[in-house]
Amino acid sequence: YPDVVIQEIAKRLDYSTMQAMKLVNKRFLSAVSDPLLWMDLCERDHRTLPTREFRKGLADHALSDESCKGKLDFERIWVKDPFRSNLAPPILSTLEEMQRKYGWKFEPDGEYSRPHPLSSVIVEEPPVGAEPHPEITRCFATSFWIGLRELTIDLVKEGVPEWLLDHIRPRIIVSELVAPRWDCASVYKV
Amino acid sequence: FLFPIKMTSPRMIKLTSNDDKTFEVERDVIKQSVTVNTLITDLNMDDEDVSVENQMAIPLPNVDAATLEMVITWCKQHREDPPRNEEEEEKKEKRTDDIPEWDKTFLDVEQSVLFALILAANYMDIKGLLDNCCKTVANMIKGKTPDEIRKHFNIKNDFTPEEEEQIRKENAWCED
Repeated sequence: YPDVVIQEIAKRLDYSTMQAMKLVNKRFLSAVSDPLLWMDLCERDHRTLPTREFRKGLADHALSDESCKGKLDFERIWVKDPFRSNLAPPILSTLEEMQRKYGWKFEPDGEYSRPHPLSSVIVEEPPVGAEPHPEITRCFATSFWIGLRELTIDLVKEGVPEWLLDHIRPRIIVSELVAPRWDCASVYKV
Repeated sequence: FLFPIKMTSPRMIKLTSNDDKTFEVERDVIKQSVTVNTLITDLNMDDEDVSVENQMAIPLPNVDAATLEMVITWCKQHREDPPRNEEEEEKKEKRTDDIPEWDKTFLDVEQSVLFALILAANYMDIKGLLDNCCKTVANMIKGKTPDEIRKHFNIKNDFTPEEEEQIRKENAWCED
């Protein structure tokens, strides 16, 4: 049977079974490794892809620089979705948990009385003084205390190809969604 | 009163399998096959005023008679199905526990038959049939190890241990 039979079955399976399929034999391996299959899946599951211009730029770059792959791995994109707009993991209910799980650091300023022994921020659930939002159920809240928050996002772990970071060095935009409380004027800078 | 027979009998379409068997099927039933439907429309066969005897049969070079017969049976059973839009299609592909009871029984056949059906459904572009056949097979191998999948399909491992190791390594990237 042609590859398309194997691929149509694979499309309806979970990723670990798809990986098992690759180890069945050479036919299965080539069918399940086909970039077209993964492109199809990326499209079906609405994975975020870099713009067409960006992709064309990658291909051009690869021509002039042999050490640069230039081709995106759609399987990786399907699994990790590294080009989505928000790479930050969800806010958990306590700072301790985020410190443990994500390795994020929350440091107090050490001078004034603070709402939390770890930090000058707290987790607010639900956000206070803001319009309710169906998707935003938790937020960091801060007041006039000074403190340090260190949130690390490992781009390679998130699935961004290393060669892309090394050779293309794309512009990385860091931003935060901020809402001042309705009853309190404020200035906030990242 | 006498009505012309044409008005009461549904329009029929002729299909020929790759082993030269010809089947007659209602126009309304076979419209579920996008491939056949497009062909009928492109050839303006709907407007032609020819009796089914004189009509050109549509050749299906990728489908044998036994499979085609099953395809037609499936299409007859599903003729009343509402048309599926793209969004539903995406959702349906992602779950495998929604095969209708009739299809479960109908698709309880030998593997080779099931594979022939997948191929035919893909070629004839019958989304629902393709979907349910693939899900049936997917359910059989879900969560299985490579070796269990090989046993299930009765296929031989043609990898050397080194090649196998290499693929395992490549597979491991997503584990952290």
